[in-house]
Amino acid sequence: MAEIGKGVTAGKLAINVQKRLTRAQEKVLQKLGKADETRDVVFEEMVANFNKQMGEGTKLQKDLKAYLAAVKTMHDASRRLQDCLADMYEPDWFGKEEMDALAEDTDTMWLDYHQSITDKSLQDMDMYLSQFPDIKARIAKRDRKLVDFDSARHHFTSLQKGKKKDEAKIAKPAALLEMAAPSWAQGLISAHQVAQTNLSYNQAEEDLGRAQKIFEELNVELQDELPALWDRRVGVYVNTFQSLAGHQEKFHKEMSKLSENLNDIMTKLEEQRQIKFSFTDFICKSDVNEKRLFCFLQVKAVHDYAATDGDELELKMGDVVLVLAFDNPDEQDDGWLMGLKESHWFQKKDISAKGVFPENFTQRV
Amino acid sequence: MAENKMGPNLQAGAGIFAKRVQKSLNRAQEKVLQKLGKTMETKDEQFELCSQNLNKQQIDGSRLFKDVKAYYAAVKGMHETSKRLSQTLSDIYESDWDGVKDLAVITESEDLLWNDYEEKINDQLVRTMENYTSQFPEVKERVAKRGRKLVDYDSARHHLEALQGAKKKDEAKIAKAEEEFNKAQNVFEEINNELREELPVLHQSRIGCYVTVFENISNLRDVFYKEMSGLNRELYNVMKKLETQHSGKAFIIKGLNRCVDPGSKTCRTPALEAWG
Repeated sequence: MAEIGKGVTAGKLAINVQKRLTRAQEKVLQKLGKADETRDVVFEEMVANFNKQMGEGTKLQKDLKAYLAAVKTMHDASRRLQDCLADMYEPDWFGKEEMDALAEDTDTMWLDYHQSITDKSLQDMDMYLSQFPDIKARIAKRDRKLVDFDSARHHFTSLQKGKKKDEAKIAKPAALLEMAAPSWAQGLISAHQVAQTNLSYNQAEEDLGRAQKIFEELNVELQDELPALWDRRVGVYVNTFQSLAGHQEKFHKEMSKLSENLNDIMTKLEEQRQIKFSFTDFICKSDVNEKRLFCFLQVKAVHDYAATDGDELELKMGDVVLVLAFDNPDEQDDGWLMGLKESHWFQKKDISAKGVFPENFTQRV
Repeated sequence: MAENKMGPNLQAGAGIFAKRVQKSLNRAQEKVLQKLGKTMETKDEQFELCSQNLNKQQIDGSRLFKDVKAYYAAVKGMHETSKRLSQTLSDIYESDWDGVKDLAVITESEDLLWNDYEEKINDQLVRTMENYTSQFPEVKERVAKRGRKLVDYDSARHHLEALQGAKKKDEAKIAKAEEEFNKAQNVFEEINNELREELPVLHQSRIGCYVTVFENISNLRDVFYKEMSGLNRELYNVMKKLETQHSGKAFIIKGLNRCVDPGSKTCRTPALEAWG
């Protein structure tokens, strides 16, 4: 069994070697101008376009991949920055929770963006490009089959030309042989010679027919497909860039909103700090008694409060109050705080308008 | 001998008295010095806290600076790859396709927008952090100097204490030691007071720096993203126009679509008559 297998492979190998030798021979003859080459300028243009198209597609794919890598890097850098801010943030600062939520949303947005482009644009491009190697192989095959066809053609033509010559060639020696041959062999030799030449002639004709058929099959296929493929490239480019632009637009719009939110938080934080700072500054510069009053706390009224006494603070829901310590700790009643409305502070820049208010009408800010 | 009105006993007594006064003065001074030493210890602990805050602030600042620089580099990377894509599109765009001029304008605008964004990031973020972090080495140097002056101050104090606590007092030496002590004290107090005022302010300033950086970045991003999304929409529209122009052709990408256009080149075999 093994021998048969070996025999078969050896046979196949031999055929391939023969094929290559024949093709190489034909090509050499063509190069030397000793044999003509079938040329199809139109087809060559198609192939040129094909190669151009493949080149364009490959470049696009490469660029898309590079873009995606940059997107990932950008995402990482953005997150690292956000982490810096988050680590710096103290719990009593304005907007800690909003900040954390914002960081999450931003992260998700980046991931979605990267994913969309990978799924749509890059994958489509990969799929589009995957058809090229096959067609390229078939173009090469067509080339080889064309060489085979040419070679068969030349062989046949030379046989045709040489047939008459051969016949003349054999005639004399054959005639001599005939004369020398016994009577029963008369005519057989020449008949045999004729048969031989006829055989190789027919063989060549058959080979030519086969080579032509194989070539034309491939050729027709490709002549159909290549122009269609070339035309399709516009659609591919449109799809790619339209999809990309669409995703980018969406991503940028959403990110713009998130950036606005971050800006708002930062602005409010700045305001909060300004108040503290100006207040601190005032306290630092004021005399010892007032220094003792300072408490570094802010509360917000969650309910209106109507002052029932001269030393009480009137509150409207939403008012921010800066809390102070009592002059005399004994004076402080349970559940009551001393404070100054932020708005009064902004207006007067002194703490004359301070008053007491019920703690449970407010909430820590 | 008028000066010696005091009898020898009184004289002796005056001497002893003087000695006693001197002794108690010295002891009082000793106590003061010791108390001063203790106060300085406590104050130094407080300062130690300031110093630790300073170090943490510097580390945090360096980290933010590094991340800001990385962000800047990432933006440049996005710009470059985005530009390459646009360039490729321009290269494959044929001159008879719809929207050739529009595409050129969009590509140009995108490039300008990116450049602007990069420049502003460099100015408003990178430079800011550069300035912020550059102030730390000098301050740390002064903190170190204060440390050295404190050591001088301490040793001058101990020296004086030692001299005053000695059985046999050398007034000349004590006077000199006192002078050195006072000098060391002044030098130390000066740098100490400076730092005590500056360090808390510096520490507070970190909030301002961070807020500025993130306000700036959110502003820059906001503007950039808004404008960029507009350009994205324009490119989308150009692609739509191109699609319309070429709507005769098949668009299927998956698999091969054998579309033979009627009227175009049909199947041909090369002429059997070869030429050459």
